[in-house]
Amino acid sequence: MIEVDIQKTLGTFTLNARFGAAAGKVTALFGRSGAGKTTAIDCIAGLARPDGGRVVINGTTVFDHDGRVNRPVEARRVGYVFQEARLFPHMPVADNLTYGRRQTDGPPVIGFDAAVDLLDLRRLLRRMPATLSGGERQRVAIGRALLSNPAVLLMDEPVSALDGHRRQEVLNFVADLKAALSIPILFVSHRLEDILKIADDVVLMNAGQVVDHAPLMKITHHTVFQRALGIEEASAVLAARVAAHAPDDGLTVLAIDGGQLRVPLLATPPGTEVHVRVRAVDVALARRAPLESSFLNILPGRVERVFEVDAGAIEVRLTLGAENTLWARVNQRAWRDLGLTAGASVFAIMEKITVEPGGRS
Amino acid sequence: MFTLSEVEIDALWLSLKVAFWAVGASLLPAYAVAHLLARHRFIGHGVINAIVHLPLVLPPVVVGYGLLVLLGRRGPLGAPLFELFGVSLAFTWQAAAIAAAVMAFPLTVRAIRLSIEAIDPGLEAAARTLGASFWRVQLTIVLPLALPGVLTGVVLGFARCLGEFGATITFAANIPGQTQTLPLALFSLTEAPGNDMAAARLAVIGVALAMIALLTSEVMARRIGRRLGRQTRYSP
Repeated sequence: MIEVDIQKTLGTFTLNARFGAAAGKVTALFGRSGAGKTTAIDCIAGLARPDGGRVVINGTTVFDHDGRVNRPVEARRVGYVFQEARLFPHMPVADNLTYGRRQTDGPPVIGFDAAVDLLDLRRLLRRMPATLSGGERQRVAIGRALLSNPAVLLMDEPVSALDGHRRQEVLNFVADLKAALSIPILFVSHRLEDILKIADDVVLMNAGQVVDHAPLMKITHHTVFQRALGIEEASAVLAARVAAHAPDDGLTVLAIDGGQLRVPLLATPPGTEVHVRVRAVDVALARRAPLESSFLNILPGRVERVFEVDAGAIEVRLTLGAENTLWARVNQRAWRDLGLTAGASVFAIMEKITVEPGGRS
Repeated sequence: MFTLSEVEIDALWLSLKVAFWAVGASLLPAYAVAHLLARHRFIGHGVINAIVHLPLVLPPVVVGYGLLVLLGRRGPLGAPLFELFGVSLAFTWQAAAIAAAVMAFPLTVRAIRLSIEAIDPGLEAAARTLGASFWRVQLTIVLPLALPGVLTGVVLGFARCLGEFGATITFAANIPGQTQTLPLALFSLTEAPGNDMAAARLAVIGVALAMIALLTSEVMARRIGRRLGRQTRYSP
């Protein structure tokens, strides 16, 4: 458990962050670059000093401006995985892993062999860091942080320097870690894919402020979240359950609040909770349900609010069912012709849906 | 056959002794000053930097004279040294070592400082998040990674000490067998007529010594570089 309530001013930028992170969960710090994510976790680690506020890790106050508490970095028990792995270049992997081993701080978070096996490091132990690939380096960095027996694991964009395949690989390891550990994990990211894969909760940050702290589905409601993703990636995320398989049609039916979705056949058994991602650019709108069309997923919704984002384009926030949010990006001219206003009923035509396995409550 | 005369052996041995003690005794302070200049920003940073570099730009005679004034038997440092411990430095081989140390100091500091500055401070931050204290970070991260620079500094300093002339002759004088190092012996030879051959022999010894020092440092730096994995190929 970690509680953060800090203020820090750097030139014209002011960080004012208040959030918590629970043990056994991955809490993502999300926001566009410059939102203050890294500064926030540096303040937790003690690598940066806040101007005010407090930081409490597992009931231990490590920083309290008014109480004049400021524990040095080495006494805070934080595991920090940096964007660039920062392995010690003059030590083989095994020595890097054991560098932070602490004997005194109670039962270890994870044993050496368990960490080595979990992160698949066995055959790397004698190698020097310069000979490792980017993904391997990052795995060693994660293992090194864990073996220092931390009370919290801080990860600053640990996969953003990696290419697609290695990124997935490291994310899978982080997802496994979450199940194996009982400490809070704070994960800084600006990519929705990463968050979808491993995060339970999202702390949405913008210009130094915490905008919201909620499960991912609720966070997608915010325009600053969509702006941070960018035009092509702006998306809604819906909680869904596998309702039935229709192998003859090559389809799986998903139940969501507000209707059903049909997606290409999944291997997951019925009843499984999954996340569904729908990009705003893949959603078209119609006043009447298109009769005879090839679209599989057409759901009724209501226009909630309209945002003019840039020249010629409009983003529409829709409500599906009781509280699901869906985003659609439409052309300004098309929007005028449609003549819709807030509160109007509309049909959302979803051209493409991505299913992320392992939905989280 | 190239055999060394007694005078040559004396001068060579004295030069090595002076250089060894000069570098050995100033290495720790040089490292500390280099670290201070590389990793800390404070008021007076520029002044300390200037003072450290002063011997590099001053005429060596000025440095020697300064040492004589400071450490001579009536100097502000030399007087108490003599009264309390009965130590008189001027005109001893120790004086030659001090003169050499002061002259070599900026070179050693500079080499070490550059190598410390080249170390990613992120590594030190990472070590601290892993629970390492300041001193553990220094001993296990900074010092090993700065080692090539320390080595370069030692060799440069050593070579500078071997070649030191102006400050030594001013502060320690030119006494055969006591303070007459290689360059000083060479100087004496060139002063008197008919010593061309002897002078040439000393010059050759000086060049050989410098070459050995530089080559040794090259080999050692390469070995350290290999240990850091800089030359290791990626093997899948």
